[in-house]
Amino acid sequence: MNVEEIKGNQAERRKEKKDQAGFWSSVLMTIGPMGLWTILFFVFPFIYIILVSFCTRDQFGNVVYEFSLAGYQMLTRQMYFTVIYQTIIRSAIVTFFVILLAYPYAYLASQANKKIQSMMMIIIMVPFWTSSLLRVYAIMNITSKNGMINSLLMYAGIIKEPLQILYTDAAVNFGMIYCALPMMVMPLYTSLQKLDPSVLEAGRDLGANSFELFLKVIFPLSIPGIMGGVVLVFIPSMFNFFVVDALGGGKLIIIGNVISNQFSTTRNWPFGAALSVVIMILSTVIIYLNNRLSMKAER
Amino acid sequence: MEENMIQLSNVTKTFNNMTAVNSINLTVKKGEFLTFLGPSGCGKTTTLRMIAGFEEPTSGTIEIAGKSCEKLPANKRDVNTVFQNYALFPHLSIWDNIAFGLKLKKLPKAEIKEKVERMITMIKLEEHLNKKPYQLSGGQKQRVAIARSLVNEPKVLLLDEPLGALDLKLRKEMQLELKHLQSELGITFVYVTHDQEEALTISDRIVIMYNGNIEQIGNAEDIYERPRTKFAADFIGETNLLCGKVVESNLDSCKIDVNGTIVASEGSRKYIKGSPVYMSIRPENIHFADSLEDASDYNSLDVIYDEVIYIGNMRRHLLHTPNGDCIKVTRVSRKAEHFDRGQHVKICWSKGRCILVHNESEVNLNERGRN
Repeated sequence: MNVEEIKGNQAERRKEKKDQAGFWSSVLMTIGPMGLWTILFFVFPFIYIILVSFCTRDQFGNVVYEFSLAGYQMLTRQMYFTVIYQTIIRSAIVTFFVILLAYPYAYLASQANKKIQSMMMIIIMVPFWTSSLLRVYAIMNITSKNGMINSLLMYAGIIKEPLQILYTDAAVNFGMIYCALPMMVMPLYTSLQKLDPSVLEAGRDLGANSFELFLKVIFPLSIPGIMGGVVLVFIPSMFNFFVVDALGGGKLIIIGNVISNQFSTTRNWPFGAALSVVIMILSTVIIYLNNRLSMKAER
Repeated sequence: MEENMIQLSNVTKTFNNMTAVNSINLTVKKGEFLTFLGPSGCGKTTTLRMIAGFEEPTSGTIEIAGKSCEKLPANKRDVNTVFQNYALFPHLSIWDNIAFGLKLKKLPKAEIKEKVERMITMIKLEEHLNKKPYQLSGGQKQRVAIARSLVNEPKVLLLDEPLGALDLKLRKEMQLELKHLQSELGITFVYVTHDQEEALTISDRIVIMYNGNIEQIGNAEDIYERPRTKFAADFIGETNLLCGKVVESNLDSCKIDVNGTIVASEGSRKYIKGSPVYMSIRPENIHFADSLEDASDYNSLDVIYDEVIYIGNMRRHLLHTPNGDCIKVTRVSRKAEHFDRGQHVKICWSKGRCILVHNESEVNLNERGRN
């Protein structure tokens, strides 16, 4: 190689280095701030929780940073097992009814004309933007002994004494269903909208009545939407402790309540952390299963 | 009458003040391959959908195999449809797709198995039994769609531009396959397409539609040699249309006045004196007067030469009439007939090889109802 060629290669390599540096600095600039935010407010607390779950507490409630499995050992107590078990059951019931209510609504919306479609979506979404705390208070108001429902029924003469609606199991379930509804309607609606109308026509053409069409074509094709909704409803409803508190009058608890108590009144952070870790693992398993199922169904 | 499989009587379909199908009358014979042919928006797909049961006619009646069914929903009719985009069930395997209709009829499992497997062998997709639609090519999906419909042994198979999404070579192969399939099975096929060559290739009879009206019904030769309307003449193949008025109409021929020149047609179609008509002459039927020995029995017209285009076995000559209408003449390239641009030439054509047509929407003749 002669002098010109060597100089040319050197210049090329320098340009490459500059390009690379330019590339990495632009990457840093775009995702840097967001990455920093994620690391600070998500990754660090996440790691901290896992750490604390393996620690123990002293008699005053402060965390003692020594390795211990005391947090996890608390879990094995009968009482907490029951709470976890009941939480899962309650979330399952809530999810089931949410699907029952959301499906017809989402289906009607997907088949309606454009104007009615947007109207129906707005009706579902707008309450969702209101703070759910306020909505829960509204439910408390309506269902209390002097609330709207009882007043109306007494006025109509249907009952003599006000009904106990608030602070019951049913009220809690209702509140949770109500808060979770938009989270199921949206993914279901999206999934149902994507249905090819000619596939439905083909089903009809081959002899299916409305029921058969639903069972054999519409429902199987909407499973990805249902799965998406299940994740968005089932997991958060395990943590929806303030709905349980407010509408249950403190008589009922779910796992969310237990965890929040450990970090406030009971001051047993390791136990609270251990519980959180267990629920996180449970949630991950559910999301993973959901992904596998919807990948199979979507194909 | 078992001879007639489908009977459409005065069937009309309007959408919000727009008439998609305008009071059409049609009989589809048992076992025939009938094609609806026309440009986009002519009403052919709407008519097919009304036969299938996906649309209800605004007025008129539809009879299938003698049974009146314009009010019957699609799932109760003994017809099956092949859709343009195949519309296969994405969540089911090929086997389940084809078996779908049979399972709904609650046939015994063994019978379903036998019928489905026979179909799969017919469409030659034995290795793809358990695949899902997304794993197949366009041509394979098309064959599955056809199998899914045919396995139910419907009285009529409706096909809505089924080959539209395939490439040219595959399309030509599938056209022939469909034709053979139809003659083998003897099932009545009703086909919709906008491709005139396809229609001419595969159909027993063609129904030309335009703007919601039936322009003409006939077999390929009928339509090409004896078009009924201006649209039909122009839509199929190439033609020259001379606009004129009828001056004389008698037993042997009909004479019209084209801008001062009188030309005659010996066809059986008669128009009354004074009607505005068009004379349709196919480019291959026009000769140059110089090349003819005896032009006395021919129509002739003075035109001006433009240019010639050489297309191998043919020469296409472009000329125009004194008032600007374009004339196309195609001649086999035996001896080069040479003319200069702007040269005045005399063209001739036989009185038996031209035909008078009218503009369907302008003139109301009593030709409707004639199949």
